[in-house]
Amino acid sequence: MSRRPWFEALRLVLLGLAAAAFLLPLLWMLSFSIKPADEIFTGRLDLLPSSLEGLANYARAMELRPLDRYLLNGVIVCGAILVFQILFAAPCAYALAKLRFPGRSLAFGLVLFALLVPIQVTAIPIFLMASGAGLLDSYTALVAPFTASAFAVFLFRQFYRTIPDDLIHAARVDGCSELSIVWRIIVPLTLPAATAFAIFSVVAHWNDLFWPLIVIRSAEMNTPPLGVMAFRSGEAGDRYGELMAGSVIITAPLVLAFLFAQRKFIEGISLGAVKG
Amino acid sequence: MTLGIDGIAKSFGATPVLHDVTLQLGDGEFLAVVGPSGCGKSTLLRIVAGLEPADRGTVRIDGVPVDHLPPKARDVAMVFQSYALYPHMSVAQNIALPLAMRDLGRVQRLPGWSWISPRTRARRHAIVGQVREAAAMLELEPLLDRRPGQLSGGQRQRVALARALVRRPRLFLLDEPLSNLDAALRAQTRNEIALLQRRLGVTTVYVTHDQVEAMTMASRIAVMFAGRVEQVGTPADIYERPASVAVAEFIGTPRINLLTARVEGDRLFVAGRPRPIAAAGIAAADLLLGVRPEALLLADPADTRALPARVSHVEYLGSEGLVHLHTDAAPAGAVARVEAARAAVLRPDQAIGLHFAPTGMHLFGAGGRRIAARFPATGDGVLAAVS
Amino acid sequence: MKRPSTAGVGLLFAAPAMFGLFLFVIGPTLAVAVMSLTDWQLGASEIGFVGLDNYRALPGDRVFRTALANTLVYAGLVTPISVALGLGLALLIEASPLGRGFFRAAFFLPVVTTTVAMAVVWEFVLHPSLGPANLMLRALGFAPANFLGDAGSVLATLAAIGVWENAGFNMVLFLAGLKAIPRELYQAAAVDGADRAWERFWTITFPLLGPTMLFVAVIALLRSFKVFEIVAAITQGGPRRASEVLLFTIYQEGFSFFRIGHAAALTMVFLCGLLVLALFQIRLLGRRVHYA
Ligand SMILES: Nc1ncnc2c1ncn2[C@@H]1O[C@H](COP(=O)(O)OP(=O)(O)OP(=O)(O)O)[C@@H](O)[C@H]1O
Ligand SMILES: [Mg+2]
Repeated sequence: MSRRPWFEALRLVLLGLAAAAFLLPLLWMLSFSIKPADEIFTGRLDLLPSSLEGLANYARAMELRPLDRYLLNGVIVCGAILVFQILFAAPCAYALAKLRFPGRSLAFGLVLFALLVPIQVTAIPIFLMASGAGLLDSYTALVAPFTASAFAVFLFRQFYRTIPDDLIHAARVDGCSELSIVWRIIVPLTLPAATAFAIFSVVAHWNDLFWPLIVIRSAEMNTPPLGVMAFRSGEAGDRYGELMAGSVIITAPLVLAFLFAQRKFIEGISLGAVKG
Repeated sequence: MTLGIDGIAKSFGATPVLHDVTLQLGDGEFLAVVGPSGCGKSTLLRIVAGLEPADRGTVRIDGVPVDHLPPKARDVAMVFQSYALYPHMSVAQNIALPLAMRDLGRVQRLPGWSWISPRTRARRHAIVGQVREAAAMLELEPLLDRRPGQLSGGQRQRVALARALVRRPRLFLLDEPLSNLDAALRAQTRNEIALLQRRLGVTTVYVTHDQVEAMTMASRIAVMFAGRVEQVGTPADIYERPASVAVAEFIGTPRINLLTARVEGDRLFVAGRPRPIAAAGIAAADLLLGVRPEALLLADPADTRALPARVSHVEYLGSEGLVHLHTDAAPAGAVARVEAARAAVLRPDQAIGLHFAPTGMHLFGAGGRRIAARFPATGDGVLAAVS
Repeated sequence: MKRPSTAGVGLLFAAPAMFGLFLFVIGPTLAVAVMSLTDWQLGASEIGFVGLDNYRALPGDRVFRTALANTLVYAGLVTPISVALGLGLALLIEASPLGRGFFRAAFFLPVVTTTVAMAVVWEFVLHPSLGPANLMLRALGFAPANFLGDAGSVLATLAAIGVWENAGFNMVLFLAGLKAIPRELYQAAAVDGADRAWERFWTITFPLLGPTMLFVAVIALLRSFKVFEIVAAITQGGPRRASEVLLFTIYQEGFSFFRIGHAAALTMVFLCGLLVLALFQIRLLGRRVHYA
C-alpha cells in the first residue's frame, strides 16, 4: 500500500473522526455516570465533572437496585446455558461428524432447519409450555429453551469433521470409550472452536432482552438487561446519574472482557454471521 | 500370542474390498502384508484391531474369536501411517494415555484425583515409570514434555511406537509406519523396528506397500492384490517361487521381465528360439516367461541361440548397471542387471544377444498362475534349476 | 454374531441434543404453524379452527402493515449504510498498520454493548432540550430536533443507532475477507502495471471482495430484520406507531394481548422472511467457500 504521507494523514483523520463518533456515546455514558445530579442538566458539553462527588452515583445505584443480583443472574443464566449447550452439542456433533448410525442425515437436516429458527419464532409455544409446567419466572425458563443449540451442533460438527479418523481410531485402540474420545480428544483438540462459541453464546445471552422479558416477572429474577429496564421505568426523571452508573455496571463486564481478549471476542462474535 | 485371520470378507456398500482373507501368525511372528495402494491392507488391519466390523469371517487371538470385542478389549496396539499422535497432549501424555485408560478407573482419571486417593497416586506413579521406560527404549526422554507439533517426522514416529509398545499388547499392528519418512531415516528405522520386535517378541502384522521393507523386516510376507491374499511365504519363497505374474511383478526391483512364450512337448519357444523345458501337461497356449533382471545374461549378437535384442539405454549405478533393451519377445521392453564394468561399454542402439539363467526363470500360464517347470541346462555353461 | 459397531453409540450421542431440538425448536415451530390456523386467545373458553383467516386479515390490518413497512424501511436504511460504512472502515484500517488495533476495537465496541443499557444513554443524548446531541446542533446553528419523540424522525434515529451497533460487525467480516485476498495478487498487479492504490482497488480488492460483500449484505439484512430490543427499550413502537416493527408487534400481540392465533400468523410471516433470506445466504455461503 502507498506510504504517501498525505494519504496516511487523511486516513488517520477519517478514522479518528469516525472513532470519535463511535466512542462518543460510550464516553457520554461514563461521563454522566460520574457527574453529580446538578451538573448533568447544565446544558453544557463538558465530559469531565467538576468534582468527584459523582462517583457516589455508583454506590447509590447499587442501593437503589440489586445490581449485583442482576449480574449474578446473568452469570448463572449464561453459565448454565453454555454448559448445557456444550454438554448436549459435543457428543451429538461427534456422532454427526464421525459415527455412522441410522437417521444421521435426517438428524443433520433437522439441525440445519433448526439453525434458521430463532427464539422469536418459537417463543409463543415455549411460553405456553413453561407456563403450563409452572416454570415461569425461574432459571429453568431462562435456560432450558437454549440448552439444545442447533448452532453449536452445526459449528462443532464442521470442526470435528476436520479431525483425521486415524486419531479417533488410535484413541479407540488405546482403550478410550466413545465418551472419553469426545471429552479427552475431540473437545480439547477443538478448544478454539469451543472458546469462540462460548464467547458468542455468552454475549448473545447476556444481552438478550426478548426472552427474559417474556418469562420473568419478579424483580429478583431480572437478568442484566431486564434490570436496566426496571431501573429506568422505576426512576424516571431525576436519577440520571445513578441510572447511567447502573448502565455502566451492566455493560462493563462484556466490554472489559472484550478489551482484554479482543481477538477471541471478534472471532466468537463474528461466528454469528453464519447464524444470521 | 497367535493370531488367526479366517475367511474375512468386507464390502463398503457395493464395493467389495476384501475377499476371503485367511492368514495365520505364530507366537512372536513378524508378518508383513504388502500390496499396491488400495488393495485393502489398511482395511484388514482395522478389522483385526476391531475398528471396523467384517462382513464375514473370524479373527482369533490365541485361538479365541474376538469379533464381538471392541478394540479396547482386544489388547492390541496400532501405529498409524499418520502416527495419529494427540496434538494437544505432550509426548509423555501421549504415551501414558493407553496406560491411564487401562489402569485407572473412570473416577480415578479425573484431574486431581490422585491428591485425594493414595491408590490412584501409586498407579499414576507406576504409569510415569512405564512411560519413562518406553521413552528410554526409543531414546525419547529429552522430548517427553514437547507437543507432537514440535517434533520431527522421525521423532513423531518413535513416539507412536512408544505409545504402542508401552502397555505390552498381545499384538502389534503397524500400518505403513515409515511412509512419511525420508529414504535414509526409513532405512535406519526399518532396522530399529525389526530389532525391537525381536527383543519384545510381540506378534506383529506390518502393513506396507514397499516391498523392500517387507523383504528386509519380516519373517513371512503376505502379498495382497485387490482384496485377496495371492501368496504367503518367506521372503525367499516369494522371490524365488512367485505364485503369479502379479506377485512376480510386484516383488523385486527392477521389475521382472515378461516375455511371451510357447511350449511344445519338451521345448520352450521364446521368439521362435527353442530351449529345453521339463514341465508336465502344458498346452501350447500363450504363456508368459518371467525372467529376473539378474537372470538376463548378455551374449554376443552373433550367437544364433541367443535372443536378439537392442540396447535402448543404460543406467550406470556405480556398483552395477541396468541395461534397458528392446526385444520382440517383450513388448514392454526388458531390463538386465549387469556388472558396472560391462554396462560402461554398452552404447544405445547396439545389437546384443540374450540368454536366460534358469534360477531366475518363471513360467506363468493362463490367468497368470505359476506353472511348475524345470529348465535344464542348455550348454551355455549355466546349470539347470528346479523350481 | 454381534460385531463392534458405532450405530448404537451414535444414536445415543445424538439423542439428547435431538430431543432438545424437537422439544424447543421443531415442535414449537410446527405448533406455531398450527396455532396460526386458529382463533385462539389466551383465556378464551374455546378454540376454533379458522383456516387461513388470520392470514387473510393481515393485508387489512393497519398495525401489521405499519410494522412491516417500518421494518422494511429500517432494514433498508441500516443495511446499506452499515455495510458501506463497514467496508469503508475496513479498507481504511487495512490500508496501513498504524493504529490498526485501536480502530478495530473502537468500531467493534458497540457490538459488545448491551442494547438496553445503551438505550438509556441514547435517550439522554437525544433528549429534545438538554441532550448533548441537540446542544451540539444548537452550537452549530441548527434548530434542535426531537429525535425520538417525533413520528417523522424516530425511525431514522433508530436506524442510526442500528448503524452504530452493526457497522463494526460488518467491518470485522470485511477485514476477514480482505485478509483472505492473497498478497501475491497485489504484487502481481504491481508488476503488471497497476501500481496506484486506486487501480489496485478496482482490479483486485473490489472484484475479489464481491462475494464477501453479498454475504455481509445478506447477514446485515437478516440482523436488521430482527430489530426488537431498541424499540422495546426506547420507543415501545411510538410515537403513533411510527417505530412499530414486526417483532415488537408479535411480542405485543402474543404476550400483552394474548391473541395467540393472530400472533402466530404474524410469526409465520416473519419466519418466511427469514427463510427466504437464509436460503439466499446459504447459496452465497456455498459460493464463498468456492472462492476460498
Ligand atoms: N470407509 C470407507 N468407505 C468406503 N470405501 C473405503 C473406506 N475405506 C476404504 N475404502 C476403500 O477400500 C479400498 C481399500 O482401502 P484400504 O485403505 O484398505 O487400502 P490400502 O491397501 O491400505 O491402501 P494404501 O496403501 O493406499 O493405504 C479402497 O478402494 C478404498 O477406497
Ligand atoms: Mg492404507
